[in-house]
Amino acid sequence: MATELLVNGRKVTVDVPPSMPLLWALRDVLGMTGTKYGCGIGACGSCTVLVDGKATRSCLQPVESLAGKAITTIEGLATGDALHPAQQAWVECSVPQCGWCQPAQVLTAASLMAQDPRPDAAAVDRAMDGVLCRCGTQQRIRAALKRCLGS
Amino acid sequence: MSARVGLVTRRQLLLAGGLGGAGLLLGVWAWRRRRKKRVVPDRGAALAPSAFVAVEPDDTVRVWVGKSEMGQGVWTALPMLVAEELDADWDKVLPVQPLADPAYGQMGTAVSSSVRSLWTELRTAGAMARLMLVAAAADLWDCSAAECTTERGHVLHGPSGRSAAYGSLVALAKQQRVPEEPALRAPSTFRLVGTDAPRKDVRDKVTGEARFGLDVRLPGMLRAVVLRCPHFGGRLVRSDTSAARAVPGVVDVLDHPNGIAVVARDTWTALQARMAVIAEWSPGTGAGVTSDSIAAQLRTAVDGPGNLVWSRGRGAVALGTPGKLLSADYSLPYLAHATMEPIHCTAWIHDGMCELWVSTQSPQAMQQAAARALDIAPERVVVHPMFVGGGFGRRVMDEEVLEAVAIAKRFDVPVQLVWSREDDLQHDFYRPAAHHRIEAVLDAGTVRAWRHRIAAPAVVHHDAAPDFVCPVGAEGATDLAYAVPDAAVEYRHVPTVVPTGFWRSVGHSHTAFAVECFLDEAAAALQVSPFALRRSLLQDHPRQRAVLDAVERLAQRHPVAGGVARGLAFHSSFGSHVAMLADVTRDARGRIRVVRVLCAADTGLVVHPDLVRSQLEGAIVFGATAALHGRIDLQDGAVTNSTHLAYPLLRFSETPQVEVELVRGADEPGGVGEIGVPPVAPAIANALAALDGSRTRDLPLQRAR
Repeated sequence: MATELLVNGRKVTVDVPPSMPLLWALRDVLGMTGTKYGCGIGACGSCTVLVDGKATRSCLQPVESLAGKAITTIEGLATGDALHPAQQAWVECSVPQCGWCQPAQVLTAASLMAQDPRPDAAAVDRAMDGVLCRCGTQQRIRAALKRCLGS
Repeated sequence: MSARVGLVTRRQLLLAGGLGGAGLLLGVWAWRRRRKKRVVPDRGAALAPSAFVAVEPDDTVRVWVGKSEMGQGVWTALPMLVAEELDADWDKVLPVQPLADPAYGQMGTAVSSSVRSLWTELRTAGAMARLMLVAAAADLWDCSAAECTTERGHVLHGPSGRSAAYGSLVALAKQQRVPEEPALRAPSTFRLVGTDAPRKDVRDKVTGEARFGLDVRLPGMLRAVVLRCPHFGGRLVRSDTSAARAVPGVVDVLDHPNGIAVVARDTWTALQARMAVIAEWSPGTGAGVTSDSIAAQLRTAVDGPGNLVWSRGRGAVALGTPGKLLSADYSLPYLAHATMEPIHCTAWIHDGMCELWVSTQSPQAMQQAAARALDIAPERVVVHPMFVGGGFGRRVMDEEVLEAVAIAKRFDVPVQLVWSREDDLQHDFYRPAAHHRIEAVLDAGTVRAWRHRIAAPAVVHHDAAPDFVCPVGAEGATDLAYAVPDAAVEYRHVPTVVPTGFWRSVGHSHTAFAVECFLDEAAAALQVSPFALRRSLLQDHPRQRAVLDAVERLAQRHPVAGGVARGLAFHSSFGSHVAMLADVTRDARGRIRVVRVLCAADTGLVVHPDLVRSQLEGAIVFGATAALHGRIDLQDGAVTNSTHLAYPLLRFSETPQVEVELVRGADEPGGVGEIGVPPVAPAIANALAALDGSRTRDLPLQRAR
């Protein structure tokens, strides 16, 4: 069944079962592999994308639930060659190690910035606790967040 | 199907068994001594005196990175070695991922050896290219090469003020003699090595452009998942795959050496259809095997003598000497790797050859494995190594390659095998569970005699006969740096059905816990400070002692907060030395919080300080996760942890603040990637003992209460 999605400002049509999670439509059908598979049950956060600006687990979102919503993946976060401030902060703080979870970490930071430019510590913890990192880059994520959240 | 370890063959590992704890290390390092001349692949118009470097006419310097980038920074650190001697413009240096090829030496990425093993060869490659460029410029300008200098990708001639970019000299340089053994720079004159040069992998990792093995997309590619027997030692009794076959998008459901393979057009469909397979399994030899039953076997095993793997002075006989006898047991559970990028392998078998795309720590071993499985020459197997989304030792195993090849040989299109998170946690090659007993005689303010018994299933050879001596089973306990005059270490392998493998820092990950907790217990019994006891026992080891002193200085700069206790641990591994202090408290609900870790490390000469710090920060989180939460549970030989909820990782708000101080105790680099893990658990346990007034000797700490 064909479903129309709005991904990074572009209308795309995916011919998949309506119950297929966005994660797999992005990765396997559209070939957009910046969104990462980690657990498939919303426990690790690696598959985070922005839906209407809010950090969302794409492994739990069937494509049928996303009609008319604006989806932003890591591939759509920068503006041309100009990195998003979160991406820039991540580079400056040399955050990534293996890098698998980092698109999700960056998008979660971008979502935080968009919703509350000066979140308190509890709000930052709530948002970032949802995205696991096995390499242990959390301290650098904290440093990068300080730069882009100005707190 | 039985997986093999990807770095050394089973035979090599068995041979190494006779060499004691250093055996595996020797196996991996053996290639170094051969130093045979490598074939340089054709690099076209570029200047390429070595397989590792090509200076292009457009000034680009390509550096082939013959190790796997998995977050430890080889895409930056290894090109830096070439660029240092070449005086390359760092902005023009481009890392290149080679295929599996003997031209790049041993590509296995393990035992924290990437920089150490290529330290001389890569600098030599840079020096050779530089000398040829200088000789070309001297020819061109009709001057002496001795009058020429190099700077950021240019040859300069001071007397005449002339300058030429490397690219413009490439054609002439190619005609110069290749210098055999160029002189290398003294470390005191390094200009790039030792700086935090901009990393080569970071931008792609924040834009989504970095391509990992699981990101490979090929025309017509199918996806496959395997339904495996949940019980180690078990087997399939009967199955009904008709419902799975009926799922739209399913291409085939196949018998597979490891169970049943479901092949579909996309991963989601394959995973959904797998749930529709009805299978009945028999636990086989896994029946009755639980984590507790294995722990009990290990505990019993240390009641009797093991294989003597190391001793000093009079060895264990000295336990009979007068003094206070102190004895303590420590136990550690099985642990999973839980790499964030799930395990996978894409295989395409066509035209009498096989192509693999995989995140691997050992491309050449994967090539060999596929060649054996398909009965073709290794040269007919092309391995495309990809960025690795977390390795930690898991990706030296060839299980996923063998699994993928067994499926792909039934199709003429590429097949991407995907392991779900459940597959990963339940079919890993686990860090073995271990039981330690240390007995020591304390007298006159110090430790006089020492016997350390270790029982743990062998790494990889989990089902070997009981007399098998795992070459890494006692590493970190043997060669005790502490000046105990009489000491012995005994190791006992206990065969089980549970697959085991290399887990970041391997044997050190459990031996350091026992030794460093025991040191604190000995200090308490002797009524001296943990720091003072270690310092006096390290009297003959100035490098180690300097690290201990460095962490003590850090401690003075960061006093302990109220309600917080501090614990010390020290451990040497992979040619480096690390001392750590963990600040631990309990929150209102009694949960353990590691609020801060102070870390001093002597990793010898440091190539890129920020990458070393980043590895230590990460290792501390990795170690703390294991110390607090890590435990794989078994029931009838089946792992019951299936998700991150049952195998939790430290979250953002739970990670400690880390301070790292680097001490340079040598002019050669030491290992970096694993060295931060061993001291974490004992530092936390020692802090917790101080905080609670009672000691927990069994990991994980959070569940033990």
